[in-house]
Amino acid sequence: MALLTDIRLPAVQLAAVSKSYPSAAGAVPVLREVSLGFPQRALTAVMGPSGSGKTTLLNCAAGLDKPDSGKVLLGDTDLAKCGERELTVVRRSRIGFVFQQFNLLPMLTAYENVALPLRLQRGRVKRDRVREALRQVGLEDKADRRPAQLSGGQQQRVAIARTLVAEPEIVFADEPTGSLDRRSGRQIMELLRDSVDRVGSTVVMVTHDPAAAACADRVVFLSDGKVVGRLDHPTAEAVAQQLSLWER
Amino acid sequence: MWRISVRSVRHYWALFAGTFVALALGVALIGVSAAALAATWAVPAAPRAESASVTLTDGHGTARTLSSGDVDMGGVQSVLAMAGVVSAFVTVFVIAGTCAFGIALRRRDMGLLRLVGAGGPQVRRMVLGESLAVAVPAASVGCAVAAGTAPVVVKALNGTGLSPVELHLGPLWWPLLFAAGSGLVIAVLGMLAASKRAARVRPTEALREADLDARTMTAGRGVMGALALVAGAVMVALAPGAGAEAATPLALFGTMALAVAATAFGPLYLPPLLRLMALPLRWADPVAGRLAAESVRTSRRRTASLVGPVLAILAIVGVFTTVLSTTGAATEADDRARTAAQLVVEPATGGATLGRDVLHRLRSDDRVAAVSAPAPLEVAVAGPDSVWKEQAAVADPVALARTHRVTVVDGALGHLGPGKVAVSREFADWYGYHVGSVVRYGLFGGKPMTGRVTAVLDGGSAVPPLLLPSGSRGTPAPGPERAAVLLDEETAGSAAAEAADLAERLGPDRVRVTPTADWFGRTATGQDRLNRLVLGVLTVPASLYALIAVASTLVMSYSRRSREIAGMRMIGVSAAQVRRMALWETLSTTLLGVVIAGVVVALGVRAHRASLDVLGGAAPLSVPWAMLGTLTAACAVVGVVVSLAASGRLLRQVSVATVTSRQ
Repeated sequence: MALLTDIRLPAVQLAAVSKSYPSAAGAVPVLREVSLGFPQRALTAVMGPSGSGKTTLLNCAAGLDKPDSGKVLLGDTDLAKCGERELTVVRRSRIGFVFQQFNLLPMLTAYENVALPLRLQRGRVKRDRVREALRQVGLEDKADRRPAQLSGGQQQRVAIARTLVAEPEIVFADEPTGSLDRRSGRQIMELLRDSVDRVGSTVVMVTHDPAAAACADRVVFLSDGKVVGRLDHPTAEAVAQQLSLWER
Repeated sequence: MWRISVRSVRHYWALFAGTFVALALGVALIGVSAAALAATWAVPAAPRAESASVTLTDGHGTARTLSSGDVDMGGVQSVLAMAGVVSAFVTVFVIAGTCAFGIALRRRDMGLLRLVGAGGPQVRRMVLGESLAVAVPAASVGCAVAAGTAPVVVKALNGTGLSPVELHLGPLWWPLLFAAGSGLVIAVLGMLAASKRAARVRPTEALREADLDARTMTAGRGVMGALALVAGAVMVALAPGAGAEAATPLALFGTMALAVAATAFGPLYLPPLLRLMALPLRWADPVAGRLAAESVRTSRRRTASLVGPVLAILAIVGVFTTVLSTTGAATEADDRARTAAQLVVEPATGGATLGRDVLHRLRSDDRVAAVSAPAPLEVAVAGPDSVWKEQAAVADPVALARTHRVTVVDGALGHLGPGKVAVSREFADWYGYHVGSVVRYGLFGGKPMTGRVTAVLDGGSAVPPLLLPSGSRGTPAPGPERAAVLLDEETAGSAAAEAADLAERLGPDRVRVTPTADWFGRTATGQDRLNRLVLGVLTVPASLYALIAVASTLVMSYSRRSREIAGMRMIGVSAAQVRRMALWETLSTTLLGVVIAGVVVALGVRAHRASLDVLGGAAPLSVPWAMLGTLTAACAVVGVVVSLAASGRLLRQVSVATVTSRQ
């Protein structure tokens, strides 16, 4: 089973990626020569203590942040070398995002938020496709609500529907369950799992929650800007045990 | 993107309210100015036959004909045009300010758009679309207001006497169309800078928690501030030695540049100043004062946006009114100091001139030492490159030098014979004439003439630019409007007694004799009234905008503070304390704006005052305290009312849900 994810081609491959942030006391390294692949059609979780570089890793992998050195390959595109214009096109059609909160434009309804990527691609918005995506996340009856009229979990599901409609090569999720109660969190994880299993999406998720990480095909542990371990087909107990090991 | 633009205008109406009001007012003012201007254009030009003209050739040999006698609409037209331009300019300024703040409050939305794949140009289009979505209804409202008020304004304009003939309002279509068009252009212009900034928002900003205070002191701001500071400092430093004509624009523009620099550098120096101001606040009101002090200090962007409009309007209005009234006061002081004559003799009926017999009887009176009676007239003067109209007077320089304290800068004082002229120092300096050079001029209705300069005189406004000999050939001899009379100290009594006696002797129905001091008092009030009127036309709209800017910035900032205030209420801050916090915040930012504006204006006015020449002393400083005080009070009142209303509204809405809700 462990071999299964290894023989899949990586959707995104990081090669010797380093990144540091300037501070008053000089540059603080956040990622140190990280080399890592996120396999296609799999759910990968990234875990680690606060300040270990999880979010920076995610931002670099998604082309939101430029690494100081190293390569970030999405297919055969090196995101580290792309200009702003190319990155915009990549974000529009090849990458999807789900965040802890503030995922949606507050002035648009759920339907319009889901249709936004299609509209930005200047294609015709196919109503059926948008409706189908909302149906898949169980919110077809809430299509005309604005984000303020939806619960946190529902907002998160709208964000997932938005990634479903655009059919990106890879979806990045930063703490998607971080601000949700247990039940809503489980719903979100089921949706992400489902999109990997049925639609064949690729999802990379940063999380603190061992229960959420247990839904992943692989967990990567990050500490002090380096990959310090990985676990395939994890259980919540195994993840918690590993975490306590690394965090000691 | 158009749909998103419309949606966001509807969703964030509070952020666009200021833009809407400012633009509607701007379009209304432009519409009214344009309608009144069109009315002045519609005034028929005086029939050609009546107007006297003269043809002169300039230095290049080109013949140019100027005519007098046209109804001079130039004055009222330039005031109206300036009012329109000031309105347009300040509208752009206010809209740019409110838009920039609006974008700063919505960075997360912009970031989110970028995150789901919107390109910079798409975000830019959305922002420009928003400005159009606001501008179209605002322009319509403005046009409606203009259509309603234009007749009233033209009627009021006729009442002021600014226009020499009565104005009649023509069709309103073109002025309103022009105003609406300018409104749309202004909205897009005001939004351009903000849209550029919106397009530069990075996708990661969608993930940030804080709405405010991400890099308030940007490189662009720094560069702009430094440029404005250098330009302003140079202009203000040059003003004292630049001479009266150049000093006024140098001081005005220098002060405006300094005000721009002060606004740009706000994020740098405001926090320490605010910390200083916080000390008494903490002592006076421990909870609310402390909260207010911390909130103005930490929300630097908001504080800068609140201080900005107060600073800008007080600096501009302050320096304009003070410079103008100081110039007026200095001219009057100079005139008074230069006038040696004790009496002024005028015809009893306005608009008439003094007859030759009156002058003759004055001169032959043994209590009168000297009489000067310059007869003003307009001439055309030909220079090397152009022909222009100039004020001149038929006058005797020798008599003028006795009734007024005139310095001979160059040449010698003597009676002017045919072919001789004397010029004022300002005229000589400006156009480069000196003793011995030839002035080519022509009286309207006469032939070209030449005059050799025999003297250059310095006497302030007592000396007209050109002094011409009397009895020149082809001169339609004009009469003097008044005569200045110097009494013989040995034979004459007090000025008042002699005035009464002379009036009696010359006939009270023909002349009016006034002691000089009284005469100055009377003319100054008339001039003051007109000056105040023009200033009002220019500054009232600008001040209205500043008040709108103050109000809209407050509304915008409070539209984003519900969570903050809900949080305060939850930890036990009372509603009264929240209100007091709002009050202290507004008062401290307003006070700061007033103080900084005061410093900037003081610098500019000091430089300008040093450039003014007054015989025998320094120029008096004249500050229109009442007007500036009213403006300051208006800023404070609007700020307090809006912030209390906005915080009160938030207090009523507060619930636990506000703290925890996500969007």
